[in-house]
Amino acid sequence: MKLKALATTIALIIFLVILLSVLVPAFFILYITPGYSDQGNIAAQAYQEERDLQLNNIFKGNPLIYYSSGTSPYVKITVRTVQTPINITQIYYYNGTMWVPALNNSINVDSSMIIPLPKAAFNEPIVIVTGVSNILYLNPNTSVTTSAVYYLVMVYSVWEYGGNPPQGGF
Amino acid sequence: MVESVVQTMIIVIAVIVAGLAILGYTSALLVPTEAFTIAEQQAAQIAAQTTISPGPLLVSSNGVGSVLVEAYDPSYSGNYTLYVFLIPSYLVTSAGVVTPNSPVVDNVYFTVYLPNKIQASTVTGTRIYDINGNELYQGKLLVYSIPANTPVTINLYNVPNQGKGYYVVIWLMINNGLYMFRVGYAYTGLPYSTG
Repeated sequence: MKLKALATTIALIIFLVILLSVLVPAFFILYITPGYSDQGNIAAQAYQEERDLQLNNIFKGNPLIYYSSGTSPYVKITVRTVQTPINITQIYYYNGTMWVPALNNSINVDSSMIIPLPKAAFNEPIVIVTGVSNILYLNPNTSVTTSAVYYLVMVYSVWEYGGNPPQGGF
Repeated sequence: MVESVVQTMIIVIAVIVAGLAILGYTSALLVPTEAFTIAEQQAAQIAAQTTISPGPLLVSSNGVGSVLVEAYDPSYSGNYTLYVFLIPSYLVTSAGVVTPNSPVVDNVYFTVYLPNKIQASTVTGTRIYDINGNELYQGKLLVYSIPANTPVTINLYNVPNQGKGYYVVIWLMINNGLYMFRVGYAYTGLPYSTG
């Protein structure tokens, strides 16, 4: 009789162990968010610093980016001092209806250069997208340092960062 | 002795029933929840790393608006999905909580073009969650699939009032086949000069 009573206890303990082995992982899965997004935040911070650095350099005119919008439009980039080269992913011009990509390949700016644009860009604004995803908006015949550079970045749930906020005419 | 056998049988049956119940609970609730949670965690990581760079909105005289957007995350090379809608400018401070089914939102028809001038492919979303796993949007939504780290052109048709008084809200989502999570949003409007 003594042995049988002990058997029930052992059965209950085994049952409890089985129950816990299901509930404890369930708890972990349902309620504990691991640090994936923290890890991502740290990575994003490095990217953000890189972008800010590039933007600061461009604002200071290093390199100087000038958009000449005559009958033969071009973008003139003047590199003044040695620095991290800027990569231009794409230049878009506005054709009156939509933004049209002007480059076939990305350009690595390691020295001063002139990038010719299609004639259709005449007297229309352009947008330069850099390799680290800075977006520079240039009105005709302005340089980045004088033009109202468009810059607005938003990262969900991490931070909000704004340069010149958009201003509509309302 | 006979009573003892019956008792043992009852205990055995009870344990089997309890075991089946736990198994049922695990497969019915825990497995889908786990799949969802894993997807959510992946979305959260991508959300933390991704930045969205929008260009200005320019609207032509016939009401076609055009915006440039790049979703930037050097450590992600997959696709995002993208949806855009117009909001009146007074809602801009709450751009993060406005959803496409809000009555003040203008869901204009839009197309997305890749830098090679090819139109991006479309996907139909049914439910969109935020990265905390809450449902943001339910209903059919035609979204475009865009690659990471590539600028794309978005054309919006029938933009009211030349875009004055409106902002474009861009939703960036990832789609793992089962669930769609919004990993980021951004908004943009007319630039200074054309305002």
